[in-house]
Amino acid sequence: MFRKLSLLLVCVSLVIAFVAPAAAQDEPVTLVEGDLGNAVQLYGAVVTDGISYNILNQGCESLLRFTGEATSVGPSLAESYEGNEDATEWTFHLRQDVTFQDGTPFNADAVIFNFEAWRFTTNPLHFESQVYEYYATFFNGFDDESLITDIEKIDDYTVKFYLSAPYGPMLNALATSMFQIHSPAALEQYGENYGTPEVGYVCTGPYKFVEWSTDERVVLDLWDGYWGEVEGNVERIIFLTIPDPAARFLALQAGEVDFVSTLDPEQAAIVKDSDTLQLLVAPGLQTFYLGFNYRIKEFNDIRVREAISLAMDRQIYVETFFPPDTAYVATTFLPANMWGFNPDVPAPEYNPDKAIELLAEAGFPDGLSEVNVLGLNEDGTCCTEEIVDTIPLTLYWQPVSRGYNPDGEGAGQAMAADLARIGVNVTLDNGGDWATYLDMRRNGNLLGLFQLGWGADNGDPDNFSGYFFADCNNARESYFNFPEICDLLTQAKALPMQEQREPLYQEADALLAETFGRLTIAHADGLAALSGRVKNWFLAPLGGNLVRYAVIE
Amino acid sequence: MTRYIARRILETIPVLIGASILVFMIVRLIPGGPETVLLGERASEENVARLRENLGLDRPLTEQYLIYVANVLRGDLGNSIAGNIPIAREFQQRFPATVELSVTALLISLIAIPLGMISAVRRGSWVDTLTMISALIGISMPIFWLGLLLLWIFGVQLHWLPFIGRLSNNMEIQTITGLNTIDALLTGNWAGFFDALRHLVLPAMTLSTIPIAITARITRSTMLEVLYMDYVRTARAKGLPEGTVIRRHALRNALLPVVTIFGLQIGSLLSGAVLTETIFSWPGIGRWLFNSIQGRDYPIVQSVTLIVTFIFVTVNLLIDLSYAWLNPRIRYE
Repeated sequence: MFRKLSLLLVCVSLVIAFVAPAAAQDEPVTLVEGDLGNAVQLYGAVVTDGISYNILNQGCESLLRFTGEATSVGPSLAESYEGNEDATEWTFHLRQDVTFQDGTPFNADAVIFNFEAWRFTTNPLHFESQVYEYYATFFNGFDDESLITDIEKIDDYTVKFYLSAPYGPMLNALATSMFQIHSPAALEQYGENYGTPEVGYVCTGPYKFVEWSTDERVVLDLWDGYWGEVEGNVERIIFLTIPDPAARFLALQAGEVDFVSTLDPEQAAIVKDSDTLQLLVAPGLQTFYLGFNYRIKEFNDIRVREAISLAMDRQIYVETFFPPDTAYVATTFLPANMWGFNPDVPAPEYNPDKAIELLAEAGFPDGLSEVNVLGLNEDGTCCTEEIVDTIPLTLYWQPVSRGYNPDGEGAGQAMAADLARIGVNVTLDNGGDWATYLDMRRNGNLLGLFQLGWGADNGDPDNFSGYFFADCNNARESYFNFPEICDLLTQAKALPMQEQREPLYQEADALLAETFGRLTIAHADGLAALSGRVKNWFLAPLGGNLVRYAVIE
Repeated sequence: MTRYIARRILETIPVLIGASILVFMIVRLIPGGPETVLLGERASEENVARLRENLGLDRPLTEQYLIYVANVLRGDLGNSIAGNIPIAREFQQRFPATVELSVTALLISLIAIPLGMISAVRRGSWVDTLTMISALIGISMPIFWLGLLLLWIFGVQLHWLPFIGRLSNNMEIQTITGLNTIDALLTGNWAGFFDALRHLVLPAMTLSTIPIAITARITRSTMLEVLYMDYVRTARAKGLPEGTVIRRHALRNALLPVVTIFGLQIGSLLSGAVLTETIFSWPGIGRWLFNSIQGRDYPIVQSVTLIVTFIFVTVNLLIDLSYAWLNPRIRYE
């Protein structure tokens, strides 16, 4: 009798478990986003990952911000600003009605406190275990190397930045998520643990941190002390970690999540045809390219580089490996919607016959399957005349999916097939995994052709072309060494006005195309899918997908 | 018995030392370090060098290892490189998730013992054929495919079961043990209990397929051997009912190899089920370890592997000890 009763109880429990949905509770208006990974740390100064920034952007603010759907910069915590003639001094007038989410005031002291913690390696809040990558990159280094030499408090709500030299991208840099202003009281209280799951962030934005369970979710709630207006009606944002891309997309279809970013072509096509989902497209600020490693002797011959370029059917890659109408063939390194773009550079030609002729002219009438590796100079630069190795010609494809290159393997196979038609036989390799790939790239060990790409951080061309080519002959850029291009980009960075800088970026891009120094393949739009119940939301080109605008019906 | 246990416990020490050295070396042999992953595509040479120095990765390997061991002996598992999260605390949060999923999967897989037994007793019948074909499919089917299939049918098409994480977004359970179902019961939170149970169904079913298939096949083959033994014939000759012969005499003797296999499965399940945890967004140890290997987060990989090794060794010891209970002829000297 007891056994039968137990069995019955188990059956009833199972039936209830199967059919009974979770009890409905009085819930806030909630938007759920599905992310493929965890945030690293909720403190923009010490991270480089998009997931952390996306969360931070909902609740933290910088002095300036990117305005709406464009890459131009406008006021945020600073309500106005002005620079001197040579752009070495910038004065920011701060909003006076702002407090941090812990109730402490936002003022000039808070701005100086944050920047000093990032700049000075001796500052007690500048921790050895953390790397302030973007401060060093955008402002040239720390301590005395820093481009920002001083920040003066003019009054409680006015600060003045002094630079050691004119720096064109200054305002764009200050608008990024990396330089959001955090509560000095919280930074001091939590020290090295600030931004970790137990602490979260304390900023000035519309959503405050509530909870973070790693590998599960981050929860933010609308904060009623926000100084500005929240245009939408979302009261709670939940960022769910769903590591499997297929499961994440199924969760979107099942209505368990409202928003997912980075879609593959098939998923984008499904969303496009769906009645219940919306496809969001952000103007593309991404470039997919194929690089040459200049330790390969043969790649130092422009005819070989041009032949490889002529063999690439870029239009087919765009049509095959990107969702329809979300990418276009790249003529230059800078995307067409970024200032500095050169419209006069012709589209890359596809001409396999001409490629075969060029290869023959370069001394490879039978094609190319093996290549010679040149030795490095003592200072680590490229290259000596000596051939240190002969290796199979390798094409490295990216082992991760990125918006600018959603299917590295597929694109690699297509490129290999195109190259085989002109007699260039490549071995395909992906290095093993992404960490290995990046490590090989950093050390100049992607010895062959290699795929990579870039997405803009701040909308300034220095953060695009400048990052790659301003510094000639280094291992990370596979010993790219075209001094004329490097000089142009270095000069452009140091000029204060956009009108002065733009022609230099245009000229550098034209030279890059003429020399086939690096082969640009495609520019891609940013893609995301949104539930049909969410309205009034847009994808910003620089990743500021602000939930504050969203209206859930 | 006591001496045997003491000896086995002592034997775990070299195993743990060996595992720690192996893992320490292997993670460092993989190209790409944590600095590469952490700083990403944008990393500058200066920052990479600075981070390596700050993390102590520029020191000799032996020095790094000795520092690590000294910290572990002091009970300090360290912090993760990405995010600076204390590993011990994170392990405490994740281990219950893995235990809850593994134990549920193992409980489901217990069904394999009667299935295997029936197959053996009714050898050649349609029940036997069906069970063995199902077992073959269970072993052969890739877990990620089965998981996605179940998720698509029960989650997306039928909307019967949730498939993301351990609880619904609107549900909260007070943490006592970390096992959501148990905690919900302890606090009388029935809505929480059923919600946790519903979240467990699909991942546990997915995870249990291979243990069910293996255990059913092993049970069947060992039962077939035992059923032809003399003592079973004797039991039947004594006039014992067939049910008693099978349950008391045949099954108990057939269980020894089954228990061994079960023990190995407990060990491996408690070490985390990477695929199942990934597909169902289950915040367990397997996924954590996998992500940490991908991210080259050395402290997590080292510490978690060490703990998992310890768990594996302990479970195996317990299984070995259970032999004596199953078969009184076994003595530990």
